[in-house]
Amino acid sequence: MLRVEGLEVVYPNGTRALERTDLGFSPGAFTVLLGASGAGKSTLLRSLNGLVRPTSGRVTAGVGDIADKRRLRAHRSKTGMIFQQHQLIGRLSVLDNVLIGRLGFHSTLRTLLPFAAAEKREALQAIERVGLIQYALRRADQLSGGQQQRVGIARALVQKPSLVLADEPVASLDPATADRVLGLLHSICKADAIAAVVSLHQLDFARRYADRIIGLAGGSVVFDGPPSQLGRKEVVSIYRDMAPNAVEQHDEPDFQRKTGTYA
Amino acid sequence: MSATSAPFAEILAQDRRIALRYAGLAGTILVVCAAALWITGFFDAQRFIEGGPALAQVFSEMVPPDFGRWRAWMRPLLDTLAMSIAGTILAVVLSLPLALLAASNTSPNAVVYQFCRVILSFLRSVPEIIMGIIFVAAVGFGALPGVLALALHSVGMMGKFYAEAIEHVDPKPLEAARAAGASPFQVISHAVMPQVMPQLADITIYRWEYHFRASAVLGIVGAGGIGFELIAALRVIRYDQVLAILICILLCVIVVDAIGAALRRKLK
Ligand SMILES: Nc1ncnc2c1ncn2[C@@H]1O[C@H](COP(=O)(O)OP(=O)(O)OP(=O)(O)O)[C@@H](O)[C@H]1O
Ligand SMILES: [Mg+2]
Repeated sequence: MLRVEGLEVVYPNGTRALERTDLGFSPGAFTVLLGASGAGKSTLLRSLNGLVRPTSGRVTAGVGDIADKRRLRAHRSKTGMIFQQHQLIGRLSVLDNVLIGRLGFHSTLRTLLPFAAAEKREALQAIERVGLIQYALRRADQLSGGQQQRVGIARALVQKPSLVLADEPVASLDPATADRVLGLLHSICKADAIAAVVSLHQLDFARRYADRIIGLAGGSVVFDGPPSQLGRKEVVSIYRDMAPNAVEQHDEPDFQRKTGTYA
Repeated sequence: MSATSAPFAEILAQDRRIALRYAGLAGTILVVCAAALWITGFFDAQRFIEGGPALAQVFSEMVPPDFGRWRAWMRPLLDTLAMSIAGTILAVVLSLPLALLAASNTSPNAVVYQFCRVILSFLRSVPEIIMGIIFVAAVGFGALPGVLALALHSVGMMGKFYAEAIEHVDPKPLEAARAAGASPFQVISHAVMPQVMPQLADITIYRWEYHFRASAVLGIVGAGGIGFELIAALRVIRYDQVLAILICILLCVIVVDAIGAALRRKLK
C-alpha cells in the first residue's frame, strides 16, 4: 500500500540523512524503526507523509506519487501522525485538539464553519478510546505527559487512518507510562487493522510489539525482518556507531540524551 | 594558593574592564540626554521665570471648571466613543490579513512579505493627525474622517504587533495540522489563530483604549467628537470649560481603561 523507491534525502545543509532506500509497507503491519540518534528514523518517517521532500526517488501511496499536491493531501488525511512532543495546542481543549485531525476532510471554504456535530461525536469516541473522556473539555496543557500523548493518539484516530506514523511516541515518558501508551497504540492498530510505522529507542518494546523491525544506521537499512531474527549481531550492526558497551545499555529510554549525539 | 590567585586577578581585571565599559555607556547616554534638553531650551531659566505667572493665570481661569454646557458635550463624547470602537474594528479587519502576509511563517513568499512590511511601516509613519487633516479634506468634517484616520494609522501599528505575535507561535502544532492533511488556510485558521488569539485580543484592546484618547485629539482638526468642543472652548478662551471637558474626557478614559482591563482578564 505504501512504497518507498530509491528514496534519498539530503538536507539543504548537505547532511545525507537517508541513502537510496527501497521499502514496502503492507496493510495492518506494526513496523518498528530502530537506529542510533541521527540514523535517519525521523527523516524516513517524515518523508512517508511528505513533511520531508525526497532529494531523489519517490514515495507512492495507493494510487501514486505523493509529490502531487492533491494526492499528498488525500494521503495525509488518511495517515495519522503521532509526535514525540505531542504537538498539541496548549490553550485548546482536548476535544478541539483532536478535531484538528478532521481538517484534512474539509474544503478550505468549509473550514469557515464550525465542526459538525457528527464529527464532534467521532472525536469524542476517539477520546473515549484512549480513556480521556472525563478530560474532553479540559485544556490540553493541564494534562500529564502521558495523557497528552494519548490525546495525540486520539487526534490520529479521528482521521480514521489506514496508516499511523509515530516518531518516538514514548521517548519523553517514564517506562511504565511508555509501556501503557505504546500498548494502547498497538492494540488499537491491531483492532482497526491500521498499519503503523513507529520509531523507538527501546529494544524491549520493539521486540514485544513489532511484527517487523527495520534497523537504520547512517541513513541505510541494515536490518529488515521479524523480531525473532533480531539477534545480538544485528543489534550491534544497528547501533554500530555507538561505543560497543553502550549498546548493552540502549534499552534505557533516554540513552541518547545521557551520552550525547552520534550524528 | 598562589596558583589560583593569578586567574582570580585576571577575572577581577576583566570584571573591572566590563564595569568601565558600562560606565562609559551610561556617561554617553547622560550627555546625549543633557544635549537634547539643552537644544530644546529646557535650561533657559528666563523663560520658566516668565512662564510661571502666565501658567498661574491660565490655571486660575480654569478653576472652578464650568460644567454648564455638559448637555451639549454628551453627544460629542458618545461620538468619540463610537469613533474609537469603529476605528478599532476597521483596523482589526485590515490588520489581520496584512499581518498574516507580513509574518514570515504565514507569508506565501518573500516578495509579499517585504511588500506588506513596507505598507505597514508607511501607515505607521504617517501620524494620525496628518491622516485626519487629509480625510477631513476628502470626506468633510465629522466623525467619519476621524475613524478613517484612526483605523489607517492603527493598521500600521496593529499589523506589526499582530505579525510579531504570529511569528512567535509554536511551530509544532502547525506541523501536526499539516500532517493531518490541513490546507495552508486551515493551518492558519486552526493552528495559528488559536495560539495567537489572546495576544491579538490584548493588542486590540490596548489599541481601543488608545483610540479613545487619540480621537479626542483628532477632533481638533475637525474630525468630530469631543475634541471639536475642546478646540472650540480654547478658541473662545473659556479655560473653565476646557478644564471641565478635560475632566469629562479623563472620566471616560478611566471607564474605557477599566472595561479594557476587564475584557483582557476575561480573554486570558
Ligand atoms: N532539518 C534538518 N536540516 C539539516 N539536517 C538535518 C535536519 N533534520 C535532521 N538532520 C540531520 O539528518 C540526520 C538524520 O536525522 P534524523 O532526525 O532523521 O535522525 P533520527 O534517527 O531521527 O535521530 P534521533 O533518534 O536523534 O531522533 C542527522 O545527521 C541530522 O543531524
Ligand atoms: Mg528523530
